[in-house]
Order: sequence, then structure tokens, then C-alpha cells
Amino acid sequence: MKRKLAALMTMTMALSSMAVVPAMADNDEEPYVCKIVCVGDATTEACDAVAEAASEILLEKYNIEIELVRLGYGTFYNEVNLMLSSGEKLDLIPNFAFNTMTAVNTGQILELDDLLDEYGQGIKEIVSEGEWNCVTFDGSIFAVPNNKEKAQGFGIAMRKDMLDAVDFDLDTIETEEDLEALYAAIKEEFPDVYPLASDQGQMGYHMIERDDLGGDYGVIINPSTAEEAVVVNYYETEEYQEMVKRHYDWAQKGYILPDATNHTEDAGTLIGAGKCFAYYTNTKPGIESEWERKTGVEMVVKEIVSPFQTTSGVSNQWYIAYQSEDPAKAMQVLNEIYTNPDLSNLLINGIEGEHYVKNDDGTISYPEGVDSANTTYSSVAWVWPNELITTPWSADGADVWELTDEFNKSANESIALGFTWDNANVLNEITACNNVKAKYENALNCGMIDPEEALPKMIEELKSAGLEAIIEEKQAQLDDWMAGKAEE
Amino acid sequence: MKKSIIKRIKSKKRFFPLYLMLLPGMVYLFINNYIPMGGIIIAFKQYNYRKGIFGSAWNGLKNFVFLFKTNDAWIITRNTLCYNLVFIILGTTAAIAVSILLSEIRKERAKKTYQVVILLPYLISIVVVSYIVYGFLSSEYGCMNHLLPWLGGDKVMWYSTPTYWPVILVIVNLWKNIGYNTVLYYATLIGIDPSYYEAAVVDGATRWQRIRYITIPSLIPTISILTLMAISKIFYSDFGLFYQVPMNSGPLIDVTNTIDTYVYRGLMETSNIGMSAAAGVYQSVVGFVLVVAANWIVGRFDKESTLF
Repeated sequence: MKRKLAALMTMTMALSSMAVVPAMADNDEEPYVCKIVCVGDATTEACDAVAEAASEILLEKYNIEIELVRLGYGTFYNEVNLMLSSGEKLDLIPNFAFNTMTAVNTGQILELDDLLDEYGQGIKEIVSEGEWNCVTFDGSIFAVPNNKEKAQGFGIAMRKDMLDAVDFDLDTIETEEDLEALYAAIKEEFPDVYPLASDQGQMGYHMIERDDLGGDYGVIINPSTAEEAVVVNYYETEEYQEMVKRHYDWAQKGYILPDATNHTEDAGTLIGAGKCFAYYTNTKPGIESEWERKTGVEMVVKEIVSPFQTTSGVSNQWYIAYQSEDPAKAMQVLNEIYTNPDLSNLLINGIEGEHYVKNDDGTISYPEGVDSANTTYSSVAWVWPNELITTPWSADGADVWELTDEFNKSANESIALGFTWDNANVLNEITACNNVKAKYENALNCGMIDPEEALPKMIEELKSAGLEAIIEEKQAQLDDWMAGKAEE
Repeated sequence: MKKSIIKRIKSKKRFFPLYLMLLPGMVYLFINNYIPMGGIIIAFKQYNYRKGIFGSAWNGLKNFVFLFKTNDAWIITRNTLCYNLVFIILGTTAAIAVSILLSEIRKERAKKTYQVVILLPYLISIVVVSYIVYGFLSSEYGCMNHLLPWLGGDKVMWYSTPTYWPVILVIVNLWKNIGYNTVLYYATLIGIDPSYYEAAVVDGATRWQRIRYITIPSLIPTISILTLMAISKIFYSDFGLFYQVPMNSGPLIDVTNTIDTYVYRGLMETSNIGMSAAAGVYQSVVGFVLVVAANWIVGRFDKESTLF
């Protein structure tokens, strides 16, 4: 029996090697196939075409072929998690929807220090020391930060036609409170419109400068001007309490969509349909045209919180998956994407003539008959490693990347910039707190429930769920980090 | 002695085709339900993708702690158990009543129509159901909030008023699942030997007496098996019903949070495989204990009606 089996195996091996030999004859080494899974809508055909063109660039230089898969925003996280747990072929992934610390703790991604030293020189030249700190865990670098806007400001995005109709002086707006007069004017002019929209049932942007220190409760308020790094419970801060009281009051007055938490439409759709007037947004160069693409109408963005830089602000990164068969080659690809404008253009914007055409002023736009809704390869620049070396879209303006650079330089740094948070010791508390948060936070943010009553209850329940232990742990880690920083 | 063995082999032979027919189902069950049980191990590990299931470090019972640690532990257990108990009791009663009514309908055509109509909701996806409910309860456009003022009542902000939701969820569940259970009971009903009824009619039994003394006793084994199966799942909740139908509305969480939704909400952001596995193990173990106990109790009254 054993002999038979052995004979059979030898035969299979002989046969299979025979099949391989002719293919290898004209090349000493089979090209390595590097599989990139990225987020955003694109057809399989378009991905294959882009991958083929990208392979042409990389084959010559590194003998590498690209396999490209793009997944929808809603499915990306689950599908990539499945790939990671099944161990199927995977090399490069963006951190979209992934928490880097969790990915490090569960061994989903590789440490990159040696790879960067050897194959990632181009990346090392662009990324600053401070940014590397934001992706360093236990002394090792685990991710490559994207080169894009690295700070965030907050503001409000409004429909231009409605704003013009009420003739409101935007210079009077300095805080969120100042918006009340504008909302009142809009409500009077357009009684059927709810001035403030919600985004998929949430209101995530708050006009409060804060550093969430990597997530999971415990923030620093006004981190760019704070003198001491004190972790506080965000929900107990005066800023938050005032905001939810204001929102509740506004909801009563009809300034916020009723049942805001149950609307599954995103803010862009609600505003585009004329049901709402405005929604809060992050700010960066080109943000107005981003909103115009989302809503389909002319928009005006007014900045309320000026840009500041936090560890979470270095939020877009790329990983090498733990199961990569050749991490060195994966790093070579990543380095090439980071430094080669042709390759980056291809991966971000697709194929010239099919997905975009070049204009005379050095920008690109959609070809005849193609738009953001029907293109087969959607352009999501910020998710890719280096958007700053690509050709800008005409809607963003030819100088958008220079403006981005200025924006980055002008931003104030958080006192805790570079601190990374490890939640492994307080996972039980976080799970319990997440449930309390789910119960209250959305409804409070959207003004659906009375904060006089609900907020103290929420704080009390968070505390009994272990919030204080989380904040203590975070403060301890932060103190250690600050001490280490002072020594340097 | 010898004779009995021969007899046994003979009977085996006679039933051989039936065993053969059983095989695909058994293989399916083995692959789908037994092999994955090895995954229970993950519940006791600090899972690391790179090290795999067996290589990851042991974690003792640490993964289970989060299920019991909070004040919510009591609420989610209460919700899961109470809702399921109500569903079992009301669902069974209603399904039996409807199947008896169905069997009393003489016209074939009407009978078929009713069957289809009550089965239809069972086939609708829960996401669609949640929007049908939203159509009734939306505070702005919902039909309830138009009906109530017309009847002289006040508008209700349904999605932020927990009081009504236990009733709403029970109604939705009943509406959605009654069709399926009715079909099961109805199948048993039409299998009852008609001669019983004929004899009863000759003896002058009224229609009610026929139902009381023939139909219901014949249904008992089906009732008990279906109930036992439901009890084995009493620690699981219909995720769609408790998450989608209330539209994940925060203010309703006290009355809509069950073990499944708690685990989902808690682990959505941390995505800890070990902790989710722990929740699954906990539910299965409790379900297993409950079903064995319930089966034993049923067995004390009537051996025929037990599951195993």
C-alpha cells in the first residue's frame, strides 16, 4: 500500500514538474505575484487591466507581478478579516476600518523595520520621525503612514443655494453655538428643510478640538494648547455636555432631522435631496469639491476648529499581511508605489483614456460619458500610500497638493502626538462600555433624548462598566510615554 | 438466540436503503456541525493569526469574563430568556390554533390561499421586515403616527420609547414565524387517521369535542419535539429581530439587548475572536444543559414524546 502511494506521488511530482519546466525555460525565476487588496468600488475587469499595466512597470524592475482586488466599503473589513483568518494569499492591505493596535496584538500584520531599512528607502525619505512614532508599537514599526493631509480641522459643509437665499455673514461663525442664528434663518426661509443632517444615523463630527489617543474612551481636550497630558472622560467634559444640550434644544426647534438616528442615508444624500441644509465635516484642501461630488450640488465649507495633528490623524496606513510569502518583495512594491508617480497614478486613477483624461492645465478629469457614479474604477486617492505625487483632478484644482502640504505644516501638534494606545489589559471594560455607548451616544449626539436626564445616567453606567479603569490605564501608558519622550 | 440475530440482520437489510438515504444528511451534519466544534478551543486562547489556532497561547477563562462582568449581564440574560419563552408559548399556541382552523376549511382553494398568505412573511428577509415596521412607526411618515392623531391620540416617538417594544417585537416575531410552524403542525394534522373522527361523529361528538379529544392529543408528540428544539436555542436570539427591527436605536437597548446583540455591539470595534468564541460556547453549553433537562422532564411524563 505504502509503496503504491509512493509510486503515485513520484508520478504526480514528475508530471507536475514537467508541466512547469517549459514555462520557466525563458526566465530564470518565476515572477512573484504580489496581491494588493484595496478599498473602493471597481469592476474586476478594470482591476485586472490596472494590475496588468502595473505589472509592466514592476516586472522589468523587480520581476514582480501585481494582483489587484478592490472591495466595497461595507464589505472590506469582513472580507479581509476572512482572508487573514483563512491564510489565503495576501500581501498588501490598507488599514481601512482596521485598528492597527488590534492587528498588531493578534498577529495579523508584520513588523517592518528591517524591510524598510533594506527596501523602503524612498518611503523613509518622505515619512517624518514623528509619523513613524505613530505607527510604532513595542519598539517596532508595523505600518507605513500614507502621504496625505495629516492633520484634521472641523467645520460645516452647507448648500450654497440655501446659504445665498438667507444672505448670512459666515464670518460671524466662530463656534458651533454661532450656527444657531444661521439654522434659524434657514428654517424660516425653508420651513420644510431640517438645517442639520445626520450621517447614516450618526453625528460623529463634533466641533471640539480633542485627541482621542487611539480610541476606546479617554481623551485630551484642546491637545494642541494643553500643557499637561491629562486623560479625561469625554462625556463628562463641559464641551461635550454643552454640545448635546444644544443639539437637544435644536432638535426640539426642528433644526435637526427628527428620528435622526434611524436614517440610514448618508448626509450627502440628505443634503443633495434638499431635505437638509448642512452637515459637519473634517476640513482639508479640496474638501468642498469632495462634498460637491457627494451631494451633486454646490457646497460651501466653513472651518470652525482649525487643523491639529494627533496620532489618530495619521489614520491611513498600509500593512504587509502576516501571510505574505515574500515580505521583501511586498515592501519593494510599497516603496515603488510611494515614489513612482506613474505607478501611483495608475493604481489611484486607473487607465488614461478609460478612467480619466489629461487636461492642458496639468489636471485630469473624467472622459466623455464617464462620471463618478458610472466609472468602472473609482478614484479614492487618500486610501493609497501617496496621493501627493499623482495628477490632481480638475475639480480639486491644480494646486491641491501644494495646499495640502501647507495645511500639514500649518497644523498644531497635539501634546500626545506619537503616543499609541494598547487596550489589551482592559478589553473586558471596553466591551462593556461599548454597549453603554451604543445605548446613549448616538441619540445624545443627534439630540433625540434629553441630556439633563440621559447624560448623568450614561456616565454612571459607563463608570460601573469600568470606564475609570480604562482611563487610568490610558493615563499610565501616556505618562510612561511622556517620560520616555522627556528623556530623549 | 441465533434466530434473533438472523432476524436482526434481515431487518438491517430491509432498512439498508433507508440508511443509505440517511448518509448524505449525516455527512453534512458531520462536516457542518461536528468538525467546527474543534473551534471551541479558540474560546480558551488568546488568538493570534500568525500562530494559528493551536499555536496561540492559552488564556484560561479570561475570554468569558466580559459576559458576566457588567450590570448588563442580568439584562441581556433576562431579555434573551423571557423573549424566547414568550415566543415559544405564544408561537406554539397560535400555530396550533391556526393549523386547526386551516384543517377545518373545506374549500381546497381557500385553504391553499390562506397557507400561502401566512407562510409569506417567513420568507421575507428581516432587513425588509425592519423597513415594513419602520413604515408603521417612523415618527414623521409612519402610518401609526398618522392614525393616532386621527383617532384622537398623541403622536409617539416610537424609536425612542422603550415601553412599547416588548409588544412590538412579539407581534413581529409572531407574524413572521407563525407560517412555518403552522405548516409543521398542519402536516401532523392531516396525518391523523380519519376513522377516529368518523367514529367520534357516530358517537355524537361535537366539533369542539373532536378537537379537544382527538386532534390535540395527536399533536402532543409534535408539540413536545418542536418545543424541545426551541428550548435548546433559548440562549440564542434572532439577531435580525433584535438588531435590525429596532434599527439599532440606542434608547431601546434596555429592552432589545440580547446576548447576541451585546456580543456584536461590544466586539464590533475590538474584533476579538476569542471573546466571540467564548460567547458562542457559553450559549451552546447552556442550551445543551437545558435541552437535556427538558427532555428528561418530558420523558417522565411520556416516553413517546421525547427527543432522544
